[in-house]
Amino acid sequence: MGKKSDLKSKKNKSNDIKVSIENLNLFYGNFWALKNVTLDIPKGKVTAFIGPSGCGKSTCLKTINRMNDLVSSCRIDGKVLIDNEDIYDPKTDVTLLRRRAGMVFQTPNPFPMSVYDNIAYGPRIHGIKNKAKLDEVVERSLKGAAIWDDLKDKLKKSAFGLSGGQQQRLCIARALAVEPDVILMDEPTSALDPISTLKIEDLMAELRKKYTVIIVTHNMQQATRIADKTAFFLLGEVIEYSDTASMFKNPADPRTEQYITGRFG
Amino acid sequence: MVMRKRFQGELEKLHEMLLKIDITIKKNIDMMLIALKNSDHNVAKKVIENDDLVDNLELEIEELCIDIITRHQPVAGDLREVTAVLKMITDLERISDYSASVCEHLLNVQLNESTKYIKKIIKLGKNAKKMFSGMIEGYMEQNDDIIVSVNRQDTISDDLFRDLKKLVERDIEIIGSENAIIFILMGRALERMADHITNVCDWIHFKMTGNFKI
Amino acid sequence: MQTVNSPKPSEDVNLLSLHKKRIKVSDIIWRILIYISIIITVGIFAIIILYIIINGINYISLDFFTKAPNDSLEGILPIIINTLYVEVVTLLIAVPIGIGSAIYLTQYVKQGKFVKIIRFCTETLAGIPSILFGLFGYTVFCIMFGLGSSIIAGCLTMVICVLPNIVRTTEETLLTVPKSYKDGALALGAGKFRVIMGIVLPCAMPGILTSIILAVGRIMGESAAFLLTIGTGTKMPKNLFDHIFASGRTLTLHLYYMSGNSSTKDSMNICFGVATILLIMVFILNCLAKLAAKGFRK
Repeated sequence: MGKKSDLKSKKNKSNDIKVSIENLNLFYGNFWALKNVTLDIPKGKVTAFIGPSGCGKSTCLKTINRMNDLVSSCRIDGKVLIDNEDIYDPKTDVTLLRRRAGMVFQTPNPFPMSVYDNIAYGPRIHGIKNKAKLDEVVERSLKGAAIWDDLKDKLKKSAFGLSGGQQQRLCIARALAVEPDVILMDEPTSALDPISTLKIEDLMAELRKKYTVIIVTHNMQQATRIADKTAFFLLGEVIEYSDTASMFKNPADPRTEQYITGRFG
Repeated sequence: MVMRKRFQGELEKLHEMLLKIDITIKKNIDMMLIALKNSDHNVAKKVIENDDLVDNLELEIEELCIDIITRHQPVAGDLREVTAVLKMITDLERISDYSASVCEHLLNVQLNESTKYIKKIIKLGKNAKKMFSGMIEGYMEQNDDIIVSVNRQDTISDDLFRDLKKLVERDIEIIGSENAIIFILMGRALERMADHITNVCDWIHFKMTGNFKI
Repeated sequence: MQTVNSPKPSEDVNLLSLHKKRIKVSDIIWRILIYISIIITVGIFAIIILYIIINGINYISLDFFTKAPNDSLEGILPIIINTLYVEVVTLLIAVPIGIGSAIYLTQYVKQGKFVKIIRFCTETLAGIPSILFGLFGYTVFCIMFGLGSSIIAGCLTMVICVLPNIVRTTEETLLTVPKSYKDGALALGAGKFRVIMGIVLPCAMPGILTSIILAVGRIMGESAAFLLTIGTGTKMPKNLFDHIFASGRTLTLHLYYMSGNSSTKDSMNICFGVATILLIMVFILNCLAKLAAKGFRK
């Protein structure tokens, strides 16, 4: 089944595929963290990476905006294409890449500054100085993260005064402020309470209308709730990659079945 | 802030589809009654055809229910709703089957003087129709009282079927055993239809109250 | 009465009544020991402060610290000015170098053996007795560089004294800045320099200020490193800039010279006066630094 969908997707890659990972191998020193990963991630959809801890799902996510570059022992072999451009090409501007592929982290990490400055940080480093323009970006980003109504009166307050869920949505807004088209989320709700989690999930459903969302989650139910497609990672390999509903109703690989039914992991 | 919009949307869709299957079945029962009344074989054949529609709808609803369970892990009222729908569509499909099989039997009746028996059978059918309409009303209005009263009307069907049995038993020599069997089967189908309606009522009751039996 | 089968509580040895509170002797002894140590610590501190202030306050007058010393009066204004000179010049040199090295050691260099060796060296340097720095400063700055006994030679010596501490403390605070902030900024496309200037340094500011406060205290209290390098001058500065090349004792040195000088009648009183001024200056500088840190945290 995986092969069939591969063939199908290769035909109309130019239109529907946003991020394409081809035969990606990644090593941390001697550790082979990703083994021959090949994934075509569709545009305007939510794609989830699931799998047990240490299976390489976060690592794979980080290759998409080259956050692995920061790890000195990391070695990469293979291709990652965004809109058919290889991001590991030496000519790639990493700053621009990270603008195109924004990232939201596991624990909300607002900067120790005001709500406004948090959102404006990205636009400012990319050269926007005009106050009116910044105001507009801040408002648009906060609205995009569905938190404008909560925060419009608190723009000058420290971001640390917000609740965990609000902080995480602030971080999403901060990522939106640099106008990305791919949003990478690394277990964005693992530090949040259930209600905040549902709010973030709703937000993701909204976001996929404009952005391509890729989310790493160790919560399988979350993947079922929000993801259109799901990739199951195990020991650095992609075991199965298919539509979420079909994977969770009828997984093709017995290992997927064992994992999603909680038999191991 | 309204949360879980996607889930809400899917529950609404489920609701709509359930209503659609209800209306289709009700139409089938109506047409079955017309076919019986006028001995209209064309209408009867239409009912048999329409049964496929219901079967397809049943499959669709089944799939949607399983989808909702896999994707959204419903709990509390939502869980009762989804499981109740999953159970009741089996009964609904049976109800539609029975209306089709009554029509099939009608096509096989070979008797000139059948009005007496068909009238009894129509009475059974009318009771089933009344129960079905009441069931839809109760479901739409989320009114447990209506559901409970519909549930009680099953005994009327039982009595009517007993009457029919006695009548056919008495006249078996005149109408011939083949026709007798057909009439009994028609009556039996409509009596079973009422039973299935009570089952659906049970599930609606479960959905509303969480109790399994009325 | 159905008490036949229930066992009597008093018979059960393990069942102690909650209300039979017993006081252990060891607890009391322990408590007393703790109280004694608190009293000693706080008491000594209070006694010293009070002793100095009570003895010194009488000698302090407006003239005492607004006039230069002359025949009739032991004014200490030039000495206070010298001390401030030393503070400012030393910090101006030491703080940028210290923060710069700390940033380099934590943000740029690959963590490994090299950094460990540097760390070990700075730690050792911080533990060296300051008179050794004084000796070094005397031979290198005063003689080799030809600066003579001057404020600048004292300052340069002092820079070497405080640098290890500034580097160490700053380094530690820089390491406590959460990695998630850096990741967050990098993920937005910020370059390394921007991340350090915009995120890391502001986050570490309270810690950096603490290291500066400690340096201020250290400079104020230092005497051994100055003894051989800074000279004994007590003249008022003639020119703002030239003065750093002049010889000029600090408050601590002044105190030291006065205490050994029996020619002046009330030299001991002067000592206490100077000590009081020192205390007040340390107190004020600490308060200022604390206020600054608070301002940054906002």
